[in-house]
Amino acid sequence: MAKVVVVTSGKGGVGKTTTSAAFSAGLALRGYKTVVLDFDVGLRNLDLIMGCERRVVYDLLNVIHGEGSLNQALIKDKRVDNLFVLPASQTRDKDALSLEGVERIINELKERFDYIICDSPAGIEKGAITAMYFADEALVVTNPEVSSVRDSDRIIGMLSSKTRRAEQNLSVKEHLVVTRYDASRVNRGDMLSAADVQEILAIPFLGVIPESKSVLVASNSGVPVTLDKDNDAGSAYMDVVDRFLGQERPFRFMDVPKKGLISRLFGS
Amino acid sequence: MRTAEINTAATPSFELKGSALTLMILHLWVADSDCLIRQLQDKFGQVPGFFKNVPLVIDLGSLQDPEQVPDFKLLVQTLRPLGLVPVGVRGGNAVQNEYALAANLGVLHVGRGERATEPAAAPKVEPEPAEQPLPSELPAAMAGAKVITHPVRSGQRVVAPHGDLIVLASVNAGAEILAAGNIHVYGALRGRALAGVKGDTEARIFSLQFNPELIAIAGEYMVNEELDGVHLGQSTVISLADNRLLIEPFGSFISLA
Repeated sequence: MAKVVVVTSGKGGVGKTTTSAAFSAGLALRGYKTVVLDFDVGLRNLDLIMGCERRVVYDLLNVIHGEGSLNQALIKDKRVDNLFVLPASQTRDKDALSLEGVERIINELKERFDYIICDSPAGIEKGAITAMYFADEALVVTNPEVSSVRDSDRIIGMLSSKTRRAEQNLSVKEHLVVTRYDASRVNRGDMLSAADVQEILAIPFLGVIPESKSVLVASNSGVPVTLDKDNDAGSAYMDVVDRFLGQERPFRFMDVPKKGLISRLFGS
Repeated sequence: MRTAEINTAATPSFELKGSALTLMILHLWVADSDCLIRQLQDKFGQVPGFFKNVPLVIDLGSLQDPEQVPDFKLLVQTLRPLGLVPVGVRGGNAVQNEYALAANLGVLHVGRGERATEPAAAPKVEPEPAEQPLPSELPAAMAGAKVITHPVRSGQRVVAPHGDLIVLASVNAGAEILAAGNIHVYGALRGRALAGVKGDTEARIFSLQFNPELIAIAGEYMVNEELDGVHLGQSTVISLADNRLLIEPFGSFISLA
C-alpha cells in the first residue's frame, strides 16, 4: 500500500527541500519506488536540488489542469532507479492548486509508487495545507532554535486537525527530524539540544542531521546528499530513512566528536 | 459443538439495560438555519478536533418560537464534520419529533428536575431565552473537569467553559488554555493560561514546570517578564490574594533516599 509522506516545518529555510530530496533518494536507494512532489508553487526549488531543472517540461499544475499527462511530467532520476520527481510550476501561485486536482494525482501516483513524498512550502497557508492534506505520515523538519520549534509545534497541531486523516478521525503519523544540528554549539548553550526539541514537540524522533558544508555543495550541484558518498549529512539522512523504515540505528552526530591525540596536538 | 450451542435460541446473545449517561446538550434558541449554522461553524470551528466523536443531544425546549422546526438534516450535516455526533433531540413537540426521527435522530425525554415540555397542542408563553438558566452560570465546581491528554500546541486554544481544565501533557508557547475553574497542567506550562474566566476568584493554576507567556485568574494577569525568576521551571500554584496573583511552589518533598 502506497504511503503519502509530507515533509513540513512551518518555518522557511530549515531544510524541507533538502530533506525531501535526501529522504526520497534514500528510500529509492533502499529499493522503494519513490516519487517526490514539489508543492512550492511559484517558488520551485526541488528540481534544482534534485539536479533535474533542465529537464522540466510539464509540472504539477499542468497535470492537474490536464495540459500534460502524468507520464510527461514525471522526471526520472538518472542516478537512482525507482526515483522520480514531479516539479512545481514556477509561473503560477499556490491558489492554483485545487484539493480535488491534487487528490486525483496522488491517487494515480499511489497505483505506481511505494512512497509519495510531498515537499511542503513554508507557512501555514493554503500551500502548506494542500501539501499535508492527503498525508499518511509526516516528517516534521525543525532547526534547534526556538522560532523553528514553535512553528513546527503549530504545524503538528495542523496535522492533527487540517488533514483528511484528521477529518476521518485517524491520525497522521508524525516523525521529528532535527536539521542543521551542531553538537558543539549545543554544548556551549547556543542551540537547543535534540532532547529539548523532543521534549517540546513530543513526537517520535528520527534523528539529527549535522550542520555540514557538504549540504550546500550538494544543493548547488543538484545532488541529494544521500547520493553523495562520504558525507556526514548524507549518512545521517540514511539513518533517518532506515529508522523511518522501522530499523534500529544507533543515534549519531548528537555529541561532539572526540578528538584523537594527534588532532588535539596539531588542531583539526 | 460449542459454537452451535451458543447460537441456539435458549442462550441469550445480548442484554438490554438502562443507563444514565452524561451527554452534551446543544440548546437551540433559534431554528433559523442561516444564522444558526454559521454560528455553530464559527464557534466549534475555533477548536477543531476538540469535539471528536462527542455525542450530542439537541434541546428544543428553549426555542424562541417553539413551533418552528429546525432543519435537522442540515444541522446533522453541519455538526458531523465538526466532530460532534448528534444522537437525538429532546424537549420538542410532536411535529418537531417527527422531523427529528426522519433525520435519524432519536427522541429523548426531558430528564427529571428539568423543565418539562408543553404538549404540542397547548403552546404557552414564549420562553425568553434570557431567562433560561445558561449552562455557563453553573458554579464551576458543579461541572465536570475537562481532561486533555495530548500536548496543547502553538496556535491551539482549549476552553473549559464550565469547570476545571486538566492537561496531562505540556502547553506549548503560543498555545492558550482557558477555564471557568482551575487549570492543572501535568507537564510544562509555556503558553498562556487563564483560569476563572467567568470571574471565579477562587480559581487556581497548577503546573509542574512553570514558564508561561501569561497567566490570569479572574482577569488579573501577569506576563512572563513580570514573573519572579525563582519560580521559572518550578512546580507552582498560582492563586489570587488581595487582587494580586500569588505564585508559590508546590509539590516539593524531601527525598528520603
